[in-house]
Amino acid sequence: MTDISYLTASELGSFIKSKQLSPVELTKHIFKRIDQADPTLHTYITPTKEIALKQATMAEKDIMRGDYKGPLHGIPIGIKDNYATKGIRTTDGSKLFANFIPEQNATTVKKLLGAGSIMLGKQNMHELAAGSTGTNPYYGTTRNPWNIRYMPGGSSSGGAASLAAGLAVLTTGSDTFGSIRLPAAMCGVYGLKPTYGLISTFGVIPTAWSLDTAGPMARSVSDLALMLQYMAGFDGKDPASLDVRIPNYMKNLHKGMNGVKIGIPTYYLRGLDPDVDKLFQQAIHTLRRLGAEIKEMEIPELEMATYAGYAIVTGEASTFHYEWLKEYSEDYSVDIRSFFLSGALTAAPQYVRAQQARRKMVKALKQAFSDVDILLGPTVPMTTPAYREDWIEQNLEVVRKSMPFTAPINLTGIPSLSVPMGLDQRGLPVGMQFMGNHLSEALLFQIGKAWENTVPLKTTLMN
Amino acid sequence: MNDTTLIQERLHLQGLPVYPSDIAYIQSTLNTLLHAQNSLLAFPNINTEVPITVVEKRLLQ
Repeated sequence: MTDISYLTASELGSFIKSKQLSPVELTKHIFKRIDQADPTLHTYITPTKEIALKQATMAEKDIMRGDYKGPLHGIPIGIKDNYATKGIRTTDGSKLFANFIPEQNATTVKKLLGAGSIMLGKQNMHELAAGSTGTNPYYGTTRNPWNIRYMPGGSSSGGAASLAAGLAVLTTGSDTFGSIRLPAAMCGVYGLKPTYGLISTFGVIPTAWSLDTAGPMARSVSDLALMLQYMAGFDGKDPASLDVRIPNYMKNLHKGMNGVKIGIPTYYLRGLDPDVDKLFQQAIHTLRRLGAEIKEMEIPELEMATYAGYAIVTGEASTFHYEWLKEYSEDYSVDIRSFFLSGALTAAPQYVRAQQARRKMVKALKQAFSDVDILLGPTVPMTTPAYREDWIEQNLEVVRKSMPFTAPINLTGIPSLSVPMGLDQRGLPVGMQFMGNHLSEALLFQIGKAWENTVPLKTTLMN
Repeated sequence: MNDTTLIQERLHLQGLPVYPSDIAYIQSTLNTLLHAQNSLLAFPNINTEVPITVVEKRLLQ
């Protein structure tokens, strides 16, 4: 059999189902890699080896006696450390929650474990899911496996880096202003920020309620579709949960891109690093060759995304943390504390004005989607930065640069699929995002799969 | 609005911590917001938009 470290869940699942691969051996194999690589990469805050091996043993027994639960049965996954896990420390990447042991699982964790998946552990993240680089002064700074001098992106830094390094098969992320898509782009993996409310956020520690979205991360589009199938669905415990029919996300995966109308907002063409620009132009050429009809579009309302993003993220985050900022201010690192405190200094009309801007943006995108099927842009305008010594300033700088590209999706509640676009001149991954209308995840997967088939990354980290 | 003393006073009035080392970063974030606010000028009637709120329909049933 080929090296199992980089196989997708879909591939591993078929081996497990046919009893050619033992979930116990697979789990042990991944932990061996974690033991070797994670002292450098810092993708896990709390590995749960003992629990994982128990779950894998149980899965193996079930499967051997013919009780196969489905494609996630026996698949090892990493859980971002802002998802509550019963009896297992859930830090949110923060000193503040260093001793928080939840009494119940987040809805999504419950669903994934119920499907028979194996929890490898709680994964590292940018503190309180409020930063975009992956630094973490408390649990170790996550490193980009493509080059450890570089950041993996955040806040779902551990999830993305572990996928790239073969230290997990699937991972969960959360995305308030890019926290799934940005690290997926920088680590060369796939990440979906779903429609707001499609996946329950019950049990996911909030960053900014009106933007927070839970979502899957994986090494392939089909794995994202597989995960979403299990993660999506109404949850009465989440006030924002959507009560909608969940389609079969795997159904149209192989339909291709022929005739798909793609709009590129000119907003997404400004301020690109030369390598990002070059790879994006090549991607447009490839998409046309695959049969997509592509045109540029003017959506001036997107210009308000930075304002609305900053006002809402800092405003809501400072509200959630208001009392803790007073009592436990030393438990925040400087970048996060100052980011949140700035939210306490914005005026109420600024926050409400930002919510008005959102309404305008929603209307503008609705109009755009009456003309095209999807929108396209680079995930972020810059190539992956190397970590600098002035990490506090750098964290705020990366947020400032990425927010205009990532926040429009959170502000309007639409889904966005970040896919690898290629490698820059330094050999680091660059990503682009397909953005769809509300609840168009199946279409995004269809288009993403056609793109994935072009093998955008000509090399992997397998060796 | 983003003057150092004013930031310190406004934090202090709310009982929020005042760390001299934070002020430059707070200023930086507030300046980003202030600068980004200019984007609203292109939409003079934005005040008539109903803001997206966190009131759910289920609450009103």
